[in-house]
Amino acid sequence: MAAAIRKHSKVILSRAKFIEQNLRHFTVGQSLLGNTWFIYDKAKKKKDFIPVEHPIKIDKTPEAELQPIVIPDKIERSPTAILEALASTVRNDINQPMYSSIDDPYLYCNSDFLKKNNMAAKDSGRKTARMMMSMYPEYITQIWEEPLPEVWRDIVQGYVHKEPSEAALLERIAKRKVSDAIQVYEAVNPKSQLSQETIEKFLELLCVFNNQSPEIPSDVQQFIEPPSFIKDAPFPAVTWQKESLAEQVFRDLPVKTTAAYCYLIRGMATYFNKNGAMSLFREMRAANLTADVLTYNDLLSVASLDLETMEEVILEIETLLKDMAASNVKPNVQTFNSVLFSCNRVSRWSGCKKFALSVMSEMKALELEPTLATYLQMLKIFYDIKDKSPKTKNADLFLDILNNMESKEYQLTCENDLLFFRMAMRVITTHLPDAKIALRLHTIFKTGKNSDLVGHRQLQFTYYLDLISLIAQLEHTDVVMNLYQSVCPFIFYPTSDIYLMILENISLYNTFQYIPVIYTDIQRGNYFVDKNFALTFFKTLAQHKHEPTLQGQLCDIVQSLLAVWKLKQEKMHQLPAIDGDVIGEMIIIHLNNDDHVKACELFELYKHTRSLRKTSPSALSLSKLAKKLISVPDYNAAKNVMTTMLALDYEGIPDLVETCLDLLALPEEERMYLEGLARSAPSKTISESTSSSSESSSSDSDSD
Amino acid sequence: MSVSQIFPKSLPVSSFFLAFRGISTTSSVCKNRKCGVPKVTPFRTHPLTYEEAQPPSKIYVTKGWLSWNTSNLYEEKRHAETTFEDLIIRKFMFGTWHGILASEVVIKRRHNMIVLAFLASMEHALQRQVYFLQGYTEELLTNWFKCPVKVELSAVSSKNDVIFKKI
Repeated sequence: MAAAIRKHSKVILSRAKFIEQNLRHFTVGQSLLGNTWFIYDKAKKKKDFIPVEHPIKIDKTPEAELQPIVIPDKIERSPTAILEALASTVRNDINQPMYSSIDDPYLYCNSDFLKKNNMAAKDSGRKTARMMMSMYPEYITQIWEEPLPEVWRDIVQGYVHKEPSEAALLERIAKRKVSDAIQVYEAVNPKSQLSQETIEKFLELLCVFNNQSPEIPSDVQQFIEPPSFIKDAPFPAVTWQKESLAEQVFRDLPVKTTAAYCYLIRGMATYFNKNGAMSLFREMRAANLTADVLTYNDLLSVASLDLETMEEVILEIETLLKDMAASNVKPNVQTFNSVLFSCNRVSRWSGCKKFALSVMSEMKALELEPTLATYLQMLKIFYDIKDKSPKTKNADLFLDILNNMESKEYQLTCENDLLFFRMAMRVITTHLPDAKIALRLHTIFKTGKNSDLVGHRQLQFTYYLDLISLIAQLEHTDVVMNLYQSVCPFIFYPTSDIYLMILENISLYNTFQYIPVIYTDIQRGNYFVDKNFALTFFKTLAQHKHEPTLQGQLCDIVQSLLAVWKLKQEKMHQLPAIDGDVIGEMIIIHLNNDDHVKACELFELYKHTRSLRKTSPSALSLSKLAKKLISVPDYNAAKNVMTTMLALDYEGIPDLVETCLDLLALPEEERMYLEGLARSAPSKTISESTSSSSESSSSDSDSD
Repeated sequence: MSVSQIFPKSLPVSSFFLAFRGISTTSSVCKNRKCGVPKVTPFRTHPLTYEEAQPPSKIYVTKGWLSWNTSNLYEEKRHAETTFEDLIIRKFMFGTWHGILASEVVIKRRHNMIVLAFLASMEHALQRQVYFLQGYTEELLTNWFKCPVKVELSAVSSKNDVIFKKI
């Protein structure tokens, strides 16, 4: 067919052929009249014709044969299913500024302290605004007489049902207003005006919130304050209100249903009133009522309270579990978590660990998948982080847990899940200091969305603090910096101690190429305001002479910090702690770069700035500078340096004078001056290993 | 039909011109447009931001509007209300962010939300002060106007950074 199409030929195509021919590469100059093609040029390239099925098929089926259109059933999806599907198509860089911070480089919150501080300031602003509104309500009123949005209606206009009634009570229950609901309940006659169902709902409200209005913290407040660990206390105080309204409401109930019993037992157990909960449970069982699994779980979580031996604890727990089995109540993961939680309180008692293992095997037998909270309780029972004894713990159980968790993604099931990763990392640093285990845990942490389960800001900070402090001591710099660059500076901002560890690591493995990477973050964190930190940092930089590019970068770092120091001289706010010691190290860094001009400038800066003369540059740095200046030669500058050395009572001047007299042709007057210097100075030669007048540290400098 | 038939003698003369005013053949005064153009100082020392430097005639040519809303579109409501609220917001922002504001406040309305965008000078402000004012402004204006108000600011190191030219 293709071969038959020639220039100026006329081709008549059917509709189907026309569509087929569209697949071919004709050159320009085609015109179509009806189904007739006039080809003005040849096809560009001969191609084998591949017949394709007609894409548009008009099926001329008689109406009788038409199949009915079957609309598929609606698939039930969550309201956020489409958003989740869309979110799964993109992936953001998690190492980015905190979402709640202002999106501006000046206002990013890097360190944990800044995150907390700035969010506290924001919360403080909100509180101030609320206070202003309560102080001057006449100024801040509704401006326009237009109907308010629904959310504002409650705040401004109050409840819909203002008079005490069942509807009013239900309205307050729905809005979780405990004290208002109590007022309405006391104003109505429960027996005549309220139904059994409404009273049960009211009872549930009282039991959940312990008969008092809850203090609901704002989102910012939750971010600032660490989570409460009251529930983890081994012997928590009973916080359930004695002879409370909930108990009275329960007593006044016309019919004591299973739900009513369950609400009250759960309330008592949650607020650690074990005796009350257990006696009510026995009363419930005597009335031949069966508790639900949630009630059993709460009872199991307080089972170990007020008992003296492990045997009693085991007996109590087993009694409840057997009762569950007798009542045909199926346990869930939370049931076993509650048992382990109960065991955790008595984890130091003999027999506890054995019982915990038997619980885990029972859980396995029931084919229940452990959650993070389960593993958390196991870690707490077997690896007590408060146990400071030097005895090494067995890592087998921990490794088994890691093996089970490998490449699994976990969901949030209860608030204890949020504590697992932080606790596991703390266990590693306390009992199993092994970088490989820590990195394995971190790999699990990075699987899927597990990193969301670290929970609170403070837990995230302590997790990374433990991880990086362990890795920085035990692993190669490449591993450390790989981790560092994945989380710094926005997810985790290291403390100055961590930076000192990283500097030690860099010095140990001679990986100074990472110095420019960490310098920016150190500078952003204003860690140079600490004198010891600044000195250690520049001492590390001055240790060796590096290849020219890297050495140039190190010199740039010096100049950059000096520029910041000069800029902040006026305000004296967050001024880098530069003094004579640090200047000495900076001189060595420039000399390592064969840049005696910058080194001389630094020396002049030291000479002419009073604030820098609190401490003196090391003898080694001045000696190196003098040698370099003699070799350049720059006699006047060298003479200045040697005079300063004499004023500082440094050794090694005679050697320098001798070199100077040998190499330079000086007038007699100058020679006599130098000889006078040599006679006045101590004669001992400065060794390469002596680095500072105040502190001596080893130096492998090979710059000269 | 004479003029006296249309207008009785009791009416003022100005009403005559009002009724017959058609195309003006005199030169345009343009006083409303002129008042938006700042005057040049003798030694050209008055600094202007980019927004101030562009005359009103350049709106939508080289600069945008400071209030973004749909109140003035056909059959939309709340023309006066929106303008008045914007006035309150500008007064409030000028007083609350005193010494920090480095530009005019751009007020954007999207659905029921008001977004305040502006430049903040960090010359005399600490980070935590800005966060405090952000929380304060959002909470107060939200409760006042009964709709969510968000502050979306950008920081500049100094007010000198926003000087476009001096006149």
